[in-house]
Amino acid sequence: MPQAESREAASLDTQPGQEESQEKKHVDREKALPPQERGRLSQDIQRRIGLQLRAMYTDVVNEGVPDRFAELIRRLDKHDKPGKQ
Amino acid sequence: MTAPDDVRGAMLAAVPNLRAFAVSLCGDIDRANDLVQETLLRAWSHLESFEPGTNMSAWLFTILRNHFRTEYRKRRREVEDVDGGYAERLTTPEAQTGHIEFGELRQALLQLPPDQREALILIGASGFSYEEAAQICDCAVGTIKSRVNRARSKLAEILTIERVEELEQASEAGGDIPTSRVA
Repeated sequence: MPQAESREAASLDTQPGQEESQEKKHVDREKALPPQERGRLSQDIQRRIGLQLRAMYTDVVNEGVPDRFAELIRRLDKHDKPGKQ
Repeated sequence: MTAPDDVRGAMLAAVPNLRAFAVSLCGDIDRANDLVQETLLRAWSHLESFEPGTNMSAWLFTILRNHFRTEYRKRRREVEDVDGGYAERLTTPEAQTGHIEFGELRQALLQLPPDQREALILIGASGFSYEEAAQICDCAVGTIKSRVNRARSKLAEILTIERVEELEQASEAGGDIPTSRVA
């Protein structure tokens, strides 16, 4: 189920409030896995790793845009035009 | 042609996710920031290779990913030269990132082969589809799927073993829970 899998993952614009519903969807998806996949490793471990991975990632996303990058992008814009057009 | 302001806006909007991807890949916040900076500079100077109307975020991720892989290969050669100094540094990511709460996971991620690590992050955290991840990593969709599966199994294995070792150490040490461990 590639579509369900990919859309379930944290979106590029994940906000803290969305996390609970994502967690629910994640649990639902675990239940839908075929038995052979379920049996391989503990569901609970996989679920926790998935949640922790997203939490770790979101932690950095929530730091927003550090000044150095806002400044860098502003300076890029002052170079007459983008690229070699 | 893409207007400069649109490009600038799209780049700015992509920075938080690019940083999160970079930190997850390399486990080092300073190096991650350098990767993002280099990505933005490269993107700007190669803007003509961006197809307007396509996903700018995926394009920037591709540049970052390729730059990381090139650096990784370079650093690997350096590691062989300097007696594993860099590999040793890689095993203490929590000391470098300041995100102590995820130290165990970061360390486990760094033990994955880079192709599995990037696939897992793109699918499991960045929210890309398998098709998009395959495009970013320049491989088949099926390859991404199998890399993600292997990455998940391997991570579970690493983290489960670590947990058992921690418990064993804890009981040997008379109940003290160790906060960090040398792998």
